[in-house]
Amino acid sequence: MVLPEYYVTLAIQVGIYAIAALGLNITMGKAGQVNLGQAAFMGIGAMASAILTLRLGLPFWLALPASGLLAGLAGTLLGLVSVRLRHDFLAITTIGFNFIVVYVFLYYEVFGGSYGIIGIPRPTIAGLELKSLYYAILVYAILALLMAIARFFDKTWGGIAFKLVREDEEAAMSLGVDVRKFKIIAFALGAAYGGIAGSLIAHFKTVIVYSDFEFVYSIMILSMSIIGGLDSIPGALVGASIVILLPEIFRPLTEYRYIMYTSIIAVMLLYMPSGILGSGSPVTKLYRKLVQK
Amino acid sequence: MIDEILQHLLSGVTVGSIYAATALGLTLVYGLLKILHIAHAGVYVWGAYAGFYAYTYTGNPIVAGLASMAVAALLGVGIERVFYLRLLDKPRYVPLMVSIALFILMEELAANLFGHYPKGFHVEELPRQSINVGGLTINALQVVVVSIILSAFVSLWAILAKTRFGIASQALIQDMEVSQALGVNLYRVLDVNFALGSALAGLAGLIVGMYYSSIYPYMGNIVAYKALVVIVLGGFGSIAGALLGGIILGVSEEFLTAYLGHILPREAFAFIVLVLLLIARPQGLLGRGE
Amino acid sequence: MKLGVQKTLLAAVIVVLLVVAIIAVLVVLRGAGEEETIKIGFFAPLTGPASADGIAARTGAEIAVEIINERGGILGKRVELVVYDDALNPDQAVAVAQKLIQLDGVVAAVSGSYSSTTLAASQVFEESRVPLVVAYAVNPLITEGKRYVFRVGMLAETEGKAAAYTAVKLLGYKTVAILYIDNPYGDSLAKTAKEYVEKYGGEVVFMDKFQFGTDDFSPWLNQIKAIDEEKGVDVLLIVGYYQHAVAVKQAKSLGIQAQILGVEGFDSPKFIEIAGDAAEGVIIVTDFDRDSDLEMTKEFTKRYIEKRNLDPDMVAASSFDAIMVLAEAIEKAGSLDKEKIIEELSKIRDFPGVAGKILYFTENHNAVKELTLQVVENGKFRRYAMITEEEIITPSK
Repeated sequence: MVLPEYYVTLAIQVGIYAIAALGLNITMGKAGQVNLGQAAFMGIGAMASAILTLRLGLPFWLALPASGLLAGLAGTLLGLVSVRLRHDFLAITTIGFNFIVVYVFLYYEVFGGSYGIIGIPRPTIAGLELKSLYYAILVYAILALLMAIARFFDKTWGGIAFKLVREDEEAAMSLGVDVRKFKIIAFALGAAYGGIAGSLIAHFKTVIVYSDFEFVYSIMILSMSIIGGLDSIPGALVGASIVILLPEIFRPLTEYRYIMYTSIIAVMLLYMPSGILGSGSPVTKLYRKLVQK
Repeated sequence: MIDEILQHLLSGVTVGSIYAATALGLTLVYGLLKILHIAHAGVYVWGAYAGFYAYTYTGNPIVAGLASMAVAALLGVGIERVFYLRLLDKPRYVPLMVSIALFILMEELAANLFGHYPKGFHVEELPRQSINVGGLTINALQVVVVSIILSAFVSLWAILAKTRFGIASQALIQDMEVSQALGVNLYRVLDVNFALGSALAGLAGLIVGMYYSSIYPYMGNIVAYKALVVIVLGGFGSIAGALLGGIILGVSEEFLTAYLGHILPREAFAFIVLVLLLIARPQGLLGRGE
Repeated sequence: MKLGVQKTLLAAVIVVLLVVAIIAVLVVLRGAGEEETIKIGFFAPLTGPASADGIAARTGAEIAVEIINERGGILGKRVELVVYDDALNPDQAVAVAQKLIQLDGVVAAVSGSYSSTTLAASQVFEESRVPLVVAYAVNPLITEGKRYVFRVGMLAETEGKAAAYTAVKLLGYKTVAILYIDNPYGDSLAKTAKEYVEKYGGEVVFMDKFQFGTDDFSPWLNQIKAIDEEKGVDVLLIVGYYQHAVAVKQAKSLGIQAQILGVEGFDSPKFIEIAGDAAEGVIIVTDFDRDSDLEMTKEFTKRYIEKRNLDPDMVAASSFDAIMVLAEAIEKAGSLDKEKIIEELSKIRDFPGVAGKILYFTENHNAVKELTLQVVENGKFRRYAMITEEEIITPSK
């Protein structure tokens, strides 16, 4: 049986947004730095990738890491600002960053202005165009790689430093951890993940417009992270599946479906604020019990 | 040229006072609970609709104003009781996310209950004529808007600075634990703060509807985030700061849009001002250093 | 401990609900395919800030399907409209397009959505070789170079030409100020209008753009007022949607005397409701002629008012036409063969659409249609003039 393209499309979207959410899990969940502008980093990656392939003729395989790098660079800049700011000022600054980036996309023609950029090429391997199922495989391979990197980082010095920065900055400093440096790394890494997700969505849809990266999408990505569990690496995938699939399930409800969807999120956060796979969540506890037995 | 500048200034002050009114509730809540209360913009929308329907059925703008404030106050306190109080010990992003979800929920409910289309809103009792002073055209409506908002601010300031309740809430803002130990009833103070801030947001919704002649379910979208800029400009928890921040934002947006609008659009300026300000003064314009 | 048990239960309930919901939807979808109908897909923003237009568009499409079915359907089969919400989110529009094509197996589809979503979805339809008729989205890239995508709505550039023609040639004015919305619609309309105002011998004395969410137009209107006092502004062309009707009111209350010229985006009873008295005398360029003698226009208007208790607008009329044009093409194709359907669509001539007679589709599948000028009189849109000059109504591509 051929898997209908619809499911493949959803699977691809889940995979791509899981990467963006994973980036947020690193910045927010692991290092405790609020970022409400992840969609902007996706946008930077997507625009970079589109321009590099379409206007400069670079192959996708170069544009993909380059767009991660560029978004990471932007993240470093925001990180430099972030080290000066307290929690909520930082939250508001990242919202502002998202608005500014989107309006730059809108106002400057190189980013397609209000018309957008079309005809972004799909990646090819030895002349074979990667679409549909092949693209899904590519997305999930990248997701797996990025999850592994996040896990490796988490289990080694990075994770320990992040935890210290998150929980007690002064203690971290007294232990000789360069808090400033790690905050910036957290932003850069999270942003780079966002950029890679952006590149992947651009080459999947082949069309991008400035409005694809508006602030509401940052909120969407954030809700994936929180629902899945901000401090959990697989949580990003769980959160992305719920946030993307739930509205699809409610599709027959047409104009009422967002009422359903937002109610579920509000109620869930009330009773399960650490997300489905976050530490202290019932699912995690259950899992631990089963494993211990 | 000077006429044009004055005209811009007048428009900027009017819009700025509206921004201030929407930001006030946010700043009160933030001062006490440290929650970025995005759903405040939902309260603003519902307040606008309550006033609209009250006006449609009674034809009395005063009743409309009271209805706006009452419905908004109830909603505000409801959100506080049902959601925020239960989330105080959770990481800060949890109430923020809940707040955003509630905001979208309130908008979607409004759209499905009151109609997706904007509603034309014309209050006949309001003066409509324009006065010409030199080359400056002053619209009577602008005068009404600014004076209603100013008097609301003054009365609120009086409540918070002169009454026992006000002193209690100031004490809570300064130090929650000590003041509770001294017998300040946290929940009552919270309720009143939410009620006052939300009532003003409801009134602001109604005034905005009146000023722009329409009310629509998604009218809170830009307000929700612009109010954040206002409270950063004015300093969290400060009433005078909210007014000042609102007017600074309104006026600077007006001029930047008129003369530099080709570089970036209006909504971007608010945030550029904000980011630059925060880089220069990480504690906010009026905030004290730590 | 008690709390922990509750939470576990809750999580279990959520997971079970999710799974049940997925299965239920699948079962419903499988079940729906039994009856022998012709399925036409339809997507529009039914939630979020664009939902008012999305729902109007859906109503227009539903009326078309109703009428078709009352007349005995297409090729003797009932037509079934499969409607989905795209929430004005291009990612969702892509998923919706896939769902319509693969799961629902639609013969063809109509977009009742805006440009960004339609552009993303059009790519899917093109690659899947399924015809898509676009009701009113204006971005020229949507149809450019695509074999399977057609547009019944006016192109923004056509409207721009018509607006310039109206201001300078028809009304005989000279100085024009242009205030336009910053999206493909406003951008392309305003630029073409400027070009043609100058070509016809007029002068553009002011031109600037605003964002969709704007409701305070003073930064621009104050400048226009200053220019007006200095050298006079005859016409103020405002390119926006009915949500921006307040611009007209603000212009009037600032004392700007210029004739206000609007566009298709103002074509909604809501424009008049919001602008109030200030709407009187505003002329708009559009394609939906309310005073048309067409039997179909009367029927459509009657049914729309019955359903919504509201006067129909251009968005609804265009979606109605999109379904009707598609139905005609399928009928003529004599089968559900998609190649034949697009062939018939290309052959459409003088189709009596509610939103203007469609003369034919251009090489890039954009409709060439008659335009109308409507003026607000006593709180209603009325016909002011028709524009049928070939030079104006024919798009460049």
